[in-house]
Amino acid sequence: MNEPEAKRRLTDWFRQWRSPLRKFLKRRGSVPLADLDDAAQEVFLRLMRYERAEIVEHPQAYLFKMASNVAAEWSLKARYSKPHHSHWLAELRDDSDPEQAAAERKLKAGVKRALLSLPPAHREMLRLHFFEGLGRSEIAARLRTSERVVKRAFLRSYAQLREHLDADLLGVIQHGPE
Amino acid sequence: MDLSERRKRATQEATQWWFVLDSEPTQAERERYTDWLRESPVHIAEMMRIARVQQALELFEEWPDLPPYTPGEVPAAADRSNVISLPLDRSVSENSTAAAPSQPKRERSPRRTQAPSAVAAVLCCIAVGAAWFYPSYVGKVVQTEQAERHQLTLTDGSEIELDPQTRLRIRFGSDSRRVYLEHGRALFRVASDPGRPFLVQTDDTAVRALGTAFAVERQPQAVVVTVAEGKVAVFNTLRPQAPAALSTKRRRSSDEREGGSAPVYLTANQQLTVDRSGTVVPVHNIDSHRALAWADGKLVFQDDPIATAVAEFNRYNRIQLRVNDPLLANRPVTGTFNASEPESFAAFIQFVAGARISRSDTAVITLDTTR
Repeated sequence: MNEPEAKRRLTDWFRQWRSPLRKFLKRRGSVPLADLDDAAQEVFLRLMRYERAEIVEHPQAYLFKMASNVAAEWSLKARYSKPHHSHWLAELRDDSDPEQAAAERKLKAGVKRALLSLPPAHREMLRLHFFEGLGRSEIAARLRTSERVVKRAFLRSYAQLREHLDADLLGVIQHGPE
Repeated sequence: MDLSERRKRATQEATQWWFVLDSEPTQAERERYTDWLRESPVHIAEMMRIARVQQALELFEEWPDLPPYTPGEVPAAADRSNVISLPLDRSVSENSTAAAPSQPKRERSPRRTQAPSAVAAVLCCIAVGAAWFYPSYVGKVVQTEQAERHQLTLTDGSEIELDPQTRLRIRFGSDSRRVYLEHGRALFRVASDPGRPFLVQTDDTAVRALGTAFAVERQPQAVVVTVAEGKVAVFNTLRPQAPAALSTKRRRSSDEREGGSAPVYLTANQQLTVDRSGTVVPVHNIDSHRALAWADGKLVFQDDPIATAVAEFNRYNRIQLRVNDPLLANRPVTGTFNASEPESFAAFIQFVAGARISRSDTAVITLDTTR
């Protein structure tokens, strides 16, 4: 029986949780952003159906794999139910689509505005990380501060950017009572 | 708690989880995270949004266009941006700290917080300095002999193509991935992992990358960095604590103040040569397909002397080529060849230059001019 073999391969695959994440993000670019909360609801229901122990092994991989599955299924459904909205489906396959490019430009402009709203020191830390590729301890050394300060700056910046990007790109988010 | 407050807390928690999961979480952490995910769809939605923030930052390219950072304002101070500073004189604040030890530490006087952070900064410098030189002595060694090419996939999914006669050491840690190129050349296809920068180092030159493909070649007198995809930063590492730069063109305020300068950035189809003294030949644009053809087992020559081409072939093959006639050796050759087929190259020279081919034994092909 080659079940252990299959299981091992599955584990290897899950270990690369970044690949489900990438897939998810790729699709996120094409699925209407307002659907994100509905998608989260669906992912939530699916997560409940799995054994806890199973998810615990690779929670991020499960999360983003499910999220990208949901996005994929919805895009299929949308193809049949809303043919006039199917233009963004084509973008799933074609990254060079001009609309996709426009969306990316918009995202970048949004990111720039959001970054400008951060305290300069926090922005510098992000720059050192994403542009120069420094790790947190190296950023701390470069800026002559502690790693803890850098870590907190990252936490705050992400939370702050999430607010700004929302305003720019997701509009006002409605959370229904769940 | 009202809805938006709850959502805000979910954002905070999602951010914290994002960083916990980014660096090898423990079993207990994964369990708590799973439970957190299964508490509410709001948590899942927030996690997806944080992933989106991460992506936005990775895709963002206009970092150099942002206003330059002036380190006048200490990061530690900026971190306290939501703290209202009270005009207490120091003795009062010292007293209050002593009287109320449970008081949040952010309300202590600046003097008390800065001294330990200065110590921490010094310790960090030492730690980073030590880590920087560490990989030259430890790590997994991979090497190739003459005529041997080797491709390997690293645990993070990155791939390395080693040219013949190349030796490197690989050392992956929790916050960096380091490869020390001892000699030869190699092409790197780096799997993106922003938490652990990928760093290739030779003597004094380090190349950093996020997700990208680039090659580093260690020549006797220089290091050549060629980028096929994405972006890399090239540093001079003579000063380990704050990797000093090679070029002085860019403004990088914090470094310049210390007498150093900024790293050199290369993007796709650019090449940089750094010689032993640390001098940099200006970045020049190249066709990376051609420049990196060796990684696909191809040799590309453009008006190169046959002798040079022969030397290249000999590095890749057990069958060795010899050129007896110096005139023939100096003739230029242009073309793309399979590195593993010296016979084809010999046949080509025979055809275009009218050379005579002889095989004294199975391992040597001699090229000579016909009389």
